[in-house]
Amino acid sequence: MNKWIKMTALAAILLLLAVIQSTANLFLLLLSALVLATLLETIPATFAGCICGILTDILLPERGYYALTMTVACFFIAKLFALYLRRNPVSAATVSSVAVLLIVSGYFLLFRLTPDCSELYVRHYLPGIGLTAACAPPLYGLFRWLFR
Amino acid sequence: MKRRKTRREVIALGIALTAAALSIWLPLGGFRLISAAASPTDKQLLAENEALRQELAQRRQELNDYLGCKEENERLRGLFQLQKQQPDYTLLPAEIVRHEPLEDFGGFVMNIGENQGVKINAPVVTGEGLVGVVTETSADACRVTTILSPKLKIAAVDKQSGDSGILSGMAALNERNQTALTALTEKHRVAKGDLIVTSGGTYPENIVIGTAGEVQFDAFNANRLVVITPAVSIRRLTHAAVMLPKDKAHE
Repeated sequence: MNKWIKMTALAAILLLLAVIQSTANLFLLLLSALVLATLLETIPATFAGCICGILTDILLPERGYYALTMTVACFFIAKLFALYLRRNPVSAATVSSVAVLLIVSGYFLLFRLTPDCSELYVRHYLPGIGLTAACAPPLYGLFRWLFR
Repeated sequence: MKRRKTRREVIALGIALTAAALSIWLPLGGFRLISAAASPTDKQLLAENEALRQELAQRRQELNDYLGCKEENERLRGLFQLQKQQPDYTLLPAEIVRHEPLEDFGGFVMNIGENQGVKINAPVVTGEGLVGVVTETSADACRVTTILSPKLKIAAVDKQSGDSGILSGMAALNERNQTALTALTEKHRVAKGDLIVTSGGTYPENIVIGTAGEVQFDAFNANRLVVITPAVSIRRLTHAAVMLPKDKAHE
């Protein structure tokens, strides 16, 4: 597939996921960046994480957290897959899901921690993270098809 | 080769991190610092929520007070109008402290009595009309028998037709909170919707009792009677007033 068509399709997909993320309790933009990190080389994966992080930050009052963490996370995940792990749906889904859990929980601990916040985490954040993790295999399949 | 690749990756990471850090300060769509002062933190939101809850509770109390004052105002306004119509009488407003549990006809007890000048047979009214008559008194309370009770007999007249009769409660009508105008002549002209008032005598005249309904035949007394719907919702009363002649009000 032509490179520019791939880039355009990717941009459209990321925009769509940004819209879904802003309306539903899903972290699809973050997941897509992490899934891309399992497929791409280190440098493109790092920039993908940076862009997805910035897009996510646009929707939140606390700017900068996701931009920085996603950049670092995507860099290290891409390095991990380049050096140690095999690229397959199971490893990609597992690593990206765990990364989403850690990154979103970190956001919660930094910006949403209050004396009675445990119910918020259990009832709102954990289900969102779980549903997001369930979207990992289809996203992996989609991006793999796009970048084959 | 490998070292060059690693160096390129580190440079790319540095560029991406710089871009991510710069995005915090970029004035695009209102980007701000982490934990920006412009957007409220959770603690501020919680404090604001608590303050709003307290304000809401206060406003509810004020609304409650306002509604109570409004109801009292309407009630007293009605009594004032009635006082103007009955210049020879004094109205003593009182609160209904208890509805008689064994009394089927809506009887109740009020919190004024002999010490305030209440006499037996004094009419009890509201701004809307006649409620009943004082039948028992004590020092600071009195018992009222309502116009729904068969024990009460009050002379009444139809304002439109001029037909007079005796107002008396009936057990059959009591369940519908109605009373009856009895002892009507055969050629009476009482029609549905006519205003029934007291005709004077023992009780003051021209006090509204209610409106006429259907005409029925009282087989027990072989008499015609007219069903009267009282102007006052007797069973929902919380306040009423005792009418006393002005010269006897302070005996």
